[in-house]
Amino acid sequence: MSEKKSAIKLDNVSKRFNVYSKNIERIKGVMFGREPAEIKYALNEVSLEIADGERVALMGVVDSGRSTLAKIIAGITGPSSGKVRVRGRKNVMIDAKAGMDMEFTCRENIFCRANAVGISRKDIEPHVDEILQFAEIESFADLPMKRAPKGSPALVSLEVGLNVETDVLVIDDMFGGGGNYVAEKCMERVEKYLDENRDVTALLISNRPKYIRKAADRVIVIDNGTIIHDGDIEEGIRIFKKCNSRK
Amino acid sequence: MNTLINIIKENIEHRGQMLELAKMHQRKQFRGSDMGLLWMFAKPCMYIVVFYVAITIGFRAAKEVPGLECPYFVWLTIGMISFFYMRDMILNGANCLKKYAPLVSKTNYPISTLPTSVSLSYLTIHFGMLVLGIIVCFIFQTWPSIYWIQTLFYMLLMLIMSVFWSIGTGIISIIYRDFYNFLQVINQMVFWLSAILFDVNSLNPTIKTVFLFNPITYIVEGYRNAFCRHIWFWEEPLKLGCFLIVLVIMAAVSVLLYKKLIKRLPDII
Repeated sequence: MSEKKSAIKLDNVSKRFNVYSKNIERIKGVMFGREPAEIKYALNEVSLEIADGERVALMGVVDSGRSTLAKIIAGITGPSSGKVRVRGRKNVMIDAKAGMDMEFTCRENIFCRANAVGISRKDIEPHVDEILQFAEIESFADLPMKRAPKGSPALVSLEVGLNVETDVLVIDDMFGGGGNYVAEKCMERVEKYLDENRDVTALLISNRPKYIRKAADRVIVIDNGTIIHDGDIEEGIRIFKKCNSRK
Repeated sequence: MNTLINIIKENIEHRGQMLELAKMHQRKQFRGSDMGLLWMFAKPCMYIVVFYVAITIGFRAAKEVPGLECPYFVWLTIGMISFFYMRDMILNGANCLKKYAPLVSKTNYPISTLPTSVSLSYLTIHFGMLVLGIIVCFIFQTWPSIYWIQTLFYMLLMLIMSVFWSIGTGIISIIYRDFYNFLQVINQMVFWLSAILFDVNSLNPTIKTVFLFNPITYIVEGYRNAFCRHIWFWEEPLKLGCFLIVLVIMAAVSVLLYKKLIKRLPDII
């Protein structure tokens, strides 16, 4: 790798989930370490390194361990074994609606989301109009968010989230749903943000080749909890498609 | 001890987020309703009136509670106001982590502040109820005294208890789904087991000793001591001691659960 320092470094990281046959067994397992009926590995001895300012796309089919890896890097959950080092302030966008309430107005939800990602009311207040404008919901501003277009939470969350001071960005391109228009708008906004903030390290969780080609420097493909490709973008996309067709 | 210090540190460090969430949680209770806030008060007020009518007229059991500086209705109202907060917290505290599951499992939100936020949000309603209680005092010609100030002391104890209860039961509710249903059942019993409608001092000594270890009874009695009996909290050290023992045990269990399970919660929830 380059002479740059690594922003993200994982050494032999594994994540296991214990499967219990009965609820009472699960409690015994959680509280007293009782052996589970089955052990499933979401990640198995994963090692990777992402340099400062590097943009890496993470591809993987459902149940491949992709979300678990993202959550471990984001610091939401810890590994069962191995070492994780992430340098700097993390900004995690893997669920658009976290912190929001669809009964609240769109304007109130901006503050809800801001609070969820650690931005104070005072700091987000000056950006409210531009967030409403970006999400194209100025006319819904004081209506419950449930009445706004389906993709609005994703757009609001993205624009709010990009106001967080960030060294490491972890973002899932599917984090809001809302169709292709919303997804493309999110992608364009993230690209613009990354262009403006060259020093931000980004882990882009995406299975969209078009987006990856534009935004990433490198691709990691994960399957069955193991990294099966780390490097060239076209090769990564090809391997991912193969995995996807197999599923 | 380190875990407790970490919880306190996280609460202080993220106090802005914590208070903002408390405000939002409170608004959630009456969103989409024109008279939302009014309903929060209407239900408890109705409870108090119904019990008063049932006891004094229905059962013809108008109480002469010994040592009171106020009418029975004031005594009943003040006790029930403190009880309503704790009753709300029994269930809402246990649900505090589950209710905010996306924050726990999808963001880096400081989890230990969630129980505090929920406890604080209900405290605002409690303040409103307390103002109503004071109006009732005035209507029944019970005038302010220096003893009233110790309500703040009991309120603080109630808040601390509520936070630890929410941490512990919030975690248990996640790992054992039936626990919340169990609490819903016992929540009905708590009212009758906490000496809300009758004077705990009039019970026989054995039962009275049992009630010493019911922290809800201590808080309810504390409010009544402040408003109706004019007794300082330090004048009843045995009751305070028993309450503190229960509080310390509750805190220790909650902190232990937190220490053991906090990192696994995003996986379990």
